[in-house]
Amino acid sequence: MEDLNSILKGCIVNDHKYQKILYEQYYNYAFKIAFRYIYHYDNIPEVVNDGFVKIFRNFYGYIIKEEPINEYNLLAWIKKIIIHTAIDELRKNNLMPEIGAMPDEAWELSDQHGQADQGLLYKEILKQVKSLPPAYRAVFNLYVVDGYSHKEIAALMNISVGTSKSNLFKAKAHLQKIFKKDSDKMKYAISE
Amino acid sequence: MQFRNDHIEDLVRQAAELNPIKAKGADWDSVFNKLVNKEEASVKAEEKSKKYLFLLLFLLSSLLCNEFYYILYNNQSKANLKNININPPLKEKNNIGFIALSNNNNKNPLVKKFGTLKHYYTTPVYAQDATTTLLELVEKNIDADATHEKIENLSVSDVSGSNGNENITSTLHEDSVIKITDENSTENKKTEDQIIPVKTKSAKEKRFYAAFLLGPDISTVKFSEIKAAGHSIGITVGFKLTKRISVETGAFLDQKKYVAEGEYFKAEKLYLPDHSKLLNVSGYCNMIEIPLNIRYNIATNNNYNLFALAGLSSYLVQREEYDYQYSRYNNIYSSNKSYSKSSNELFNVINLGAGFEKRVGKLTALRIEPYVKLPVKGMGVGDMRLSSAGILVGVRYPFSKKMDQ
Repeated sequence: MEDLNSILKGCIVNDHKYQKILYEQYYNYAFKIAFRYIYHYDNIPEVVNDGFVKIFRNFYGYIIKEEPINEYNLLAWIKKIIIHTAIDELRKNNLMPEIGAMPDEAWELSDQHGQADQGLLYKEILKQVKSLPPAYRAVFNLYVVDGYSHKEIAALMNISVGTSKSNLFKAKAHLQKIFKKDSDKMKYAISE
Repeated sequence: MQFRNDHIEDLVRQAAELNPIKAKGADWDSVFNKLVNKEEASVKAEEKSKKYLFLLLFLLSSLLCNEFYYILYNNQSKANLKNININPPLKEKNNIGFIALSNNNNKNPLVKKFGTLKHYYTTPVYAQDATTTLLELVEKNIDADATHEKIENLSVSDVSGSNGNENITSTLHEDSVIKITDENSTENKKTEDQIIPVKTKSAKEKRFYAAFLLGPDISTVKFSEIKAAGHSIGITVGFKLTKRISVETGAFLDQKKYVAEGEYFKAEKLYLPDHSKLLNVSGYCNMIEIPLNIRYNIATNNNYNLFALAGLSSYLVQREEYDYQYSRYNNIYSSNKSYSKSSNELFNVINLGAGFEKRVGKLTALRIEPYVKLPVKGMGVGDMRLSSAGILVGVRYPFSKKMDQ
């Protein structure tokens, strides 16, 4: 197996063999990032592939550092590019609300006791986040999960800082309302 | 269970980290195809731009060759005219022709008005046959005077007359007559082998002119990569100071497209986050250009003008739009920004150009003008030193006061 340094050097000189190795190694990682932003499960591979094309085309500027910083940097860079590509995709569709359900086979739930419950919980949380309107969902993910500042979100999404803050507030309120409703249902079920 | 805001955020972060989604659709072939296609497209675009550059150079060189050929051709014609003046032995002069051309000179019976010629010629022509001699002249398309007026409209059918001592009269235009007569004529003896310049009634030419011009414009920052061709469209107005020197100004709507390395673009007005480094910028700029040029006619006659011009241009920047990439902590971000009426730049670009005009109507002329614009200082929000080249094509028309030549 090739070490990361060789892969990166290969990608910098545009060697397709190393590009393929990098793509295969980090595809899952990129897919999970794009999943948070793109509503339709079937559209995610295209966004991820576009992201990788951008990555390979801009690899000439990548600065190789020592391990383990190298991999952290690479992961952070992939994450940024995939997020940008996903946001571009959302903007292309004018942040229009989307409909449709996630196929059940898309979830990878563990059969082990304990992990299965946790998996279900995470699945529900992600589903709720995905059910937010695209503008709220993007701002919520960018701020809460990916650590962007409101200034950066505003620049990335071409909105004002105030709009970014407002969208985040509304997204949180929306999620809190849903989770509260769910917890009330649980309480009702237990009392019965 | 009561969810607080912090609790929700933590849960979502954990869920995102341990995301139980199955990744599907990994397809290296489609990524590879996109990469290869983009590489091929960029190579093709490069080849295309080279082709256009070659075409531009070819057109330019063709124009110059054409002009030089024309000048050489004129010189050769003059030389031919001189050769004709050499007297052959008188014995062989069976029929002697004498061409007399003048402007508005009706006093001499042998010499009559000839169009708009400005010089008076009395050129004896000796040959076996006067008509043949005239035809030779016609075939050689001889220049009639120093201003390159040509006898172009002569034809065999125009020539009439007879041999011997009789005069042969040949009609060129309604008011133009060429007379060919015997050398023994006293008038001819007086004027033989003489070329007498005559101050004729001053011919007048319009002093102001305007030209509508448009064409592609290629821009580059520090002669780096060329993005795509922009355009330039506008009107130029000229004033003739002398026959050869003119002053030109006007207004052009320019769109310049360019890419720039980050180091050549001042990023203050992009308001990048701290510790960011601008990598590259790609964008366009719409501007109103006001040039002020001095034009010098290198070679000129009634049908053609070859000129060079130099001057300075001012720019009123109307709109700038940029897509840019910057790096921050080894991550690359991309974004875009646009600006309206960001700056006015006075006399910050040097214009150098050469051009060619061909008369296509009584007054109008077709004008082709390749140019180069070199920056004196930076331009726009990025303070870029933008160089441009292009070719303007259009029509020139004189429209005001007349000047004496």
